[in-house]
Amino acid sequence: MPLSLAPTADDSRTNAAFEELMWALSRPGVIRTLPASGLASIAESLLDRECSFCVLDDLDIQQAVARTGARAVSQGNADYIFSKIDTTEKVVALSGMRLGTLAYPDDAATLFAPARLGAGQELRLTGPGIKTSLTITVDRVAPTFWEMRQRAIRYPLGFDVYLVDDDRVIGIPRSTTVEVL
Amino acid sequence: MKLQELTRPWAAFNYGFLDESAKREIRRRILKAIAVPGYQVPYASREVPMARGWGTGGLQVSLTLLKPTAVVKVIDQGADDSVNACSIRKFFGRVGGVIETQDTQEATIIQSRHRIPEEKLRGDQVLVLQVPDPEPLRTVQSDMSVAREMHGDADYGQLWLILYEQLVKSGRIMQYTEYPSLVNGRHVISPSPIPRWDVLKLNEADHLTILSAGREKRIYAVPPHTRVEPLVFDDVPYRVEDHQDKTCYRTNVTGFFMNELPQDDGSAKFELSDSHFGVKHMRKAEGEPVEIGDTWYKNGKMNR
Repeated sequence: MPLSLAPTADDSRTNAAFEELMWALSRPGVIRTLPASGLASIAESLLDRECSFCVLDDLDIQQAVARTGARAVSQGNADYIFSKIDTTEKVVALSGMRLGTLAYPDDAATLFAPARLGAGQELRLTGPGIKTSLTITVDRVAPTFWEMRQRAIRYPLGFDVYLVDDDRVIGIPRSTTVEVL
Repeated sequence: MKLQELTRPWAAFNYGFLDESAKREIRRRILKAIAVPGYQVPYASREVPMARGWGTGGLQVSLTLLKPTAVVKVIDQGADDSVNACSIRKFFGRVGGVIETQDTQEATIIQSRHRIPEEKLRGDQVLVLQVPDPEPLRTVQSDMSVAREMHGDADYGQLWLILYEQLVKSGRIMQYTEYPSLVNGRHVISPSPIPRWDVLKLNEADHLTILSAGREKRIYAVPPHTRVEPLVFDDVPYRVEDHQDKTCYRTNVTGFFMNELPQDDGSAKFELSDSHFGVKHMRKAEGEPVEIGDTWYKNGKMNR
């Protein structure tokens, strides 16, 4: 039987998006380029009917993520959260995110947040995936977010965050220590 | 949301053998595994056309990563030419149209059983290790649920006891593979049945390592530049196999991990365990322009 060995355009795009997310998380703070811009390309690569999600205040993304078949739930129950984190109110709204349990630390939320990379607040990252330390700059992230993150994370409990700027993405897993400079 | 919107046009075959929902699940699990280095993430482990225990875990991770431009090397106990390695490599070529290689330096994805290549891996390479038993606590705790609680509490005292008992009984630590190692100072992993020689290659490495157990349905990872420390007592240093002074009878190369070949007269010959590393040395000796990459071990010593 002849087999078609070529991936479809969908296959290639979702595979490439995942690969970028994988390297983004493996090397926290290093900017990777997604095959398409925006949060929707991430959603189609990872989410399906087995997942739950929560989108705070963005109808376009809400519809794009819902198209994957994932269930919309409240943010305290969601596996994947898509939300801006540019104001303190939004950060406070996120403080109920799932952090996992000691037996199942993977049962925690993942946050995808729009941000601007390469300008604004300086952060120093250390931890797995970073050789010594790495200094990055991000904008459109409320300073209170980093305080909230530090309070929430009791490693291995915590949440993982990806900051997405158009088609550029960085990953900050819970294992990374973030120092606001 | 209608079911019709979720379905795709019919196709006889999906690229990379696994269906897209299986791939999405493994993608989600891999990301969690990277976020908590060393923690064993449960996953569904689909059926693949290979018996469980022959590398189905590694196979599923590699299939998820597959793309037509990927260059794939498969190792079985150091060799690229064993039946298991050849079959898996050919399978990747057949279902993914990938470029097959035996050269560590060319590969982008290296799936391995029981060895890590002698040449240093680069930051853009992924090492996929096949794991038969992911649970380092199994010898001291047969109940998986209790072992999971012990990982949660970082309760690893009994592992030290096992090592201590080996010391008392035999005068040295006898653990020859799956040497329990602490990752990122938090989770102890079984680094798959690689020899003690190879465990040090995981520490602060440039490459990403994903370990996957198909039968036991667990994925865990060691990201680049992550501490991996074999459990050792302060006064009993970690000891790798005594292969420093062994010379390969085929290539005359000394100072790497060897296969021991018993001879009729009771003596033994040695050959390089990393088969393509040996092939490269042979070709070089014959005057071919072969580039041999930087190695982790130099003169039989781990180079840091």
